[in-house]
Amino acid sequence: MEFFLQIIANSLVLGTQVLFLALSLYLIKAVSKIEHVALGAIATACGYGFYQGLQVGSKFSALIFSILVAVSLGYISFLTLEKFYKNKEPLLGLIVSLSMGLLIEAMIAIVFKSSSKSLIEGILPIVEFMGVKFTLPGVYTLAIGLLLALTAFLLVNKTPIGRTLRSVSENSSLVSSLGINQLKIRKGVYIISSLIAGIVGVLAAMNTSLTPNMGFNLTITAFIALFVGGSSDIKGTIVASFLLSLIPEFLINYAPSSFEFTNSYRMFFVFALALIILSFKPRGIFSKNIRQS
Amino acid sequence: MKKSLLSILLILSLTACSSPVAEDDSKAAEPVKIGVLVPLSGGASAYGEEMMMVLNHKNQMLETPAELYFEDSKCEAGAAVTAFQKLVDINGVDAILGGFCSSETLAIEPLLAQNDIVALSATSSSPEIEGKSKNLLTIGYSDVVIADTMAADIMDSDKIAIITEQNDYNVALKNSLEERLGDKIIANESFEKNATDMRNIIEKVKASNPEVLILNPNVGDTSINLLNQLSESKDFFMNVKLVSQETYVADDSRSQASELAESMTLFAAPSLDSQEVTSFIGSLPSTVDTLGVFYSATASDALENLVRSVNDSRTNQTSVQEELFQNPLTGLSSSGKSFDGNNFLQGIEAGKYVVTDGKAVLQ
Repeated sequence: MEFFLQIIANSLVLGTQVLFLALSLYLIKAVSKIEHVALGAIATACGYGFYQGLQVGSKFSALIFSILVAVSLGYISFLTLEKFYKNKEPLLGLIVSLSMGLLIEAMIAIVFKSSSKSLIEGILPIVEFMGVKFTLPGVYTLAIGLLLALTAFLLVNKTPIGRTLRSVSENSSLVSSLGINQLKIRKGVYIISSLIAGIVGVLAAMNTSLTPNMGFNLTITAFIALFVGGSSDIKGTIVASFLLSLIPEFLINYAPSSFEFTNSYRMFFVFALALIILSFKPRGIFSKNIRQS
Repeated sequence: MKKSLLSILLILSLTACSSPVAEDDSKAAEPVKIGVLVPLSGGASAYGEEMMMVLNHKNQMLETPAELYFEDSKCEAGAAVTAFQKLVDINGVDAILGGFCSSETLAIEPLLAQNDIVALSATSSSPEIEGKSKNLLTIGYSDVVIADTMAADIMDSDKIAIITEQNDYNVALKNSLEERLGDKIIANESFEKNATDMRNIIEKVKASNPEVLILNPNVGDTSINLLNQLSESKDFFMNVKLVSQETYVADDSRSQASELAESMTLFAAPSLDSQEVTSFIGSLPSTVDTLGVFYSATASDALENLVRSVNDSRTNQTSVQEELFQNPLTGLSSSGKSFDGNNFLQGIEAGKYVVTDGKAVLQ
């Protein structure tokens, strides 16, 4: 039982890391219809910003460094991708975003080298709850992640802000005629999404260690979670983020040993799950079948 | 007409006879060019940097120093192949010293015969090297030696768990251990190369309740992460006998989890404590805390024997590998030893170390 609970706990932390990025992707897609996959690299860059801040000063300077990195890269993302929204070329926007992510990762590897860096040296502080152990960064990840998920869900579904966000991409001319500055909204969303990605970059690095490509697997899983959940359904995105983290871990850890599933199979299971779910529910797990004329 | 035809024939025959000699003479006068494959970036870069320092120092001690060309092989197969091609095609080296990691060494093996060049590794230890092309040689020990000694030490236990990093060196060692320990292995977990989160694997190992845990990661940050994450369950693993290989011999690799690592048993390179070795290590411009004494000695020996063999091959009109195979080697750790037709240098035994007060102490 203890093993079962511990696997759930570890997978929940991983799922929450995916959730951070999936929510960031969701917000940007909601206002610009672009899947901004460079968010994983932005998360990594913020982790390195925090690391650099720690090298030159205190935790406070590290925080300021990482916020500056997040805001700068959020703004650069907006400047780079805005024209693809205006030209209604989301696919081209996705390709440019992917290139941007790879460029950021390559720059990190050049500046900081590819060996891993630790934000917390030595053994992490452990919090024990009902026999299940969590690392302190893991507890922060869960707490902030769940708060963020709840806030995002309520904002998008229960307040006018959610409707405004969706309307910015759905009918931009109507939004403008209502006096809403859509440019400002998109710019703000890009920066907020980068900040959310930055939080997970720092927390994930604290929980394990920093490597230049640490954001890549998280982004891929978050990107798939966005589609599996339904790209316009925040509830689906939240649930899919956890499903795509929990199910592969259970398959790896509970399959008969003759299958010899190792950690390397994780992404295989993520893709297999996406294939199965999207085959039956192409609009996302919570979508309803609509009869088409 | 007849005279001029005779003159031309004479000149042609003279040219035909004299050219190879002249070429050989000029080649013999040229300094030996050695291409070195070492990881200068990535998790194993600390090893590569120390090895580079050792080789540069040793090179200055040689009677006729070689031209050394260092390329970053990153402890990765792909990077090693790219680096090898640059050394051969652009730098035109006479022989290769490397690869460092077994994955590098195995990756360049198919290219050696094609390019008619010899690679002598100072460190690679995967048993898969044995039986490969005779252009590939290593003066480190085979992991079979480690597996034999380690298995003999823990054979009394019936509950053994292994955690392995997925790369050539570690997988080869794991396979050798599986052959020797059989059903005694009750948990056999592995993680991706350069993984950062091994917590679920650790939980699986805990669930199997082992008496002995063999830690089998590669050198670098991954090994430090693994030990740190094991320390998060210190209460459990303090009651398990921890066993490992070369990776944890360097004191730095254990320093963050010193409490758990105390009493860890390590099977690795033998200790070298001759006056000659001590004098060489003492003469180095900086310490070799990461690379260690044994591999500093094998690096020095690899360079010494490669340069000698290339020079001898030029004089004797033989190949470099013939020279390496026919003559006993010289140097600090390899002196008097020979390959006896094998890819591994024969006659090296494993050393057993126990971590005591934070230091790996030879038993």
